[in-house]
Amino acid sequence: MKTVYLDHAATTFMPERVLEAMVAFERGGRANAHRGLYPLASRATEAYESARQTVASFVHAEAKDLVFTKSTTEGLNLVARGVAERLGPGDEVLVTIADHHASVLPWIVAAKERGFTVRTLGLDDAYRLRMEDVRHTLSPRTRVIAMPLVSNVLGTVFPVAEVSQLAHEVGAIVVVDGAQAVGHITVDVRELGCDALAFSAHKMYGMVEDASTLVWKSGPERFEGGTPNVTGAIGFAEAARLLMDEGIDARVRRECELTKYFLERLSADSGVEIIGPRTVDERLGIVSFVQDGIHAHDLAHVLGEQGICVRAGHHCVEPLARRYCGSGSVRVSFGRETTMEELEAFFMALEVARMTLSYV
Amino acid sequence: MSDLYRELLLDHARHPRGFGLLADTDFHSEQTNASCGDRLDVAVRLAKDGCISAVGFTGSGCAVTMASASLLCESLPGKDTSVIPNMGLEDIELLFGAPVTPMRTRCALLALRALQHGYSVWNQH
Repeated sequence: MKTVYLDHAATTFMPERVLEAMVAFERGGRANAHRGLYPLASRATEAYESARQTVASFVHAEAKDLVFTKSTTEGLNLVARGVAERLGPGDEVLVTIADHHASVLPWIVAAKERGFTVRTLGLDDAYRLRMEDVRHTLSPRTRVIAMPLVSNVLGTVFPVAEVSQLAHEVGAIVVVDGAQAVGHITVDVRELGCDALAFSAHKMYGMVEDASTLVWKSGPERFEGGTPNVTGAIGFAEAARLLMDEGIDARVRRECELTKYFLERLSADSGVEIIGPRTVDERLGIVSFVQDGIHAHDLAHVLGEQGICVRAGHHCVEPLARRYCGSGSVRVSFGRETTMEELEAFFMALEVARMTLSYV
Repeated sequence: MSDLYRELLLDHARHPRGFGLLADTDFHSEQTNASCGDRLDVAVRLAKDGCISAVGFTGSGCAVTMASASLLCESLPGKDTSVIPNMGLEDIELLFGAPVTPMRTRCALLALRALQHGYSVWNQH
């Protein structure tokens, strides 16, 4: 049975080129960075800092602002813990209903300890964040806005640049979860104007256990305790170089074609509700849907038995699931190696799953 | 043919036995599956001799969740309550006649967790 991997929003497969770069370091270059005084250690340090430079450049940031962390979740927690220390009663943190739990829970936990308020911004009927709502909710009490750049459920691109501008007018900072965006669209932190951006290597064809977060006016030496993951950083940088070589714009166009076809095919099926816009404007190749009468877990399970790998559930965005789809949705997400034939295989398997599970 | 979604499981999911409010219950408990939000309330009525007289449940869930609740409702009446705390995944798999994969364990055990929690609270009092 052929495996059709359509869960790239969860993690991506590491290309051979990325793997080779990491293996080369492990075979002949391993040493502890920032420690030894011998040439091998110096080269490891250079490789690590060079990787930082490459990854920072990938999002048009400066290397001095980039901290390597274990995961996007760890990065967002790091920012929240640091910023929340300065918050207290009367302060407000705004999140959106589409924020991943990793982007919301650190603020909720800190709010209980420190007495500030967390408010949630909803979306309109077209699953968009309304700037009018942001304007009305922002006030001098607002200290932080936490939001995704791309929703991991809806696939929609959020207006971070516009929100950052409004937020800064009232003195608030903007913390962005870029896990689904970086590597999939061109991300320029200067244009976004956000104060912190966290993203993951493994969601852009690098290694798990090594992501990065940009921390506002804070250097990496304050946050990177212990032996750094030089191998992971090298893989991260190689993944960034690979994506730059391939051309992000060309990939966005290709992903857009796949998404357009997928949305049209899926929309034509009876009993399907797409959780997100049905058009490809301002969205990426992440499509969530519910099938009338069939639980998302059951559908994904039977698809999985046919080799189709998709995600099901609330995708760590429970408020959004409660608002739009009850017990969650099936999520299909495309990557650089996804083909039209694989989408055809998905639709064939979907038909089998419907027949297997249909409630009479 | 699906490994898990066999006719027995699908029949119980489509026509769950014991579904609905049970009258004169002795204990009940509601539990939620954190991965999807599915929620079941499982209630038990005891006979005068202390054995399980009837099991019922309300709520909603996937086919695996509903079928496991339904099969418990069908299989437990007549048994002593002492069996409840000792039941586990293997008992659900026996009822299904099929193995449960790790990612579906929470679904398969939701009803049993509710049953065991309700029993535990009742037993302590």
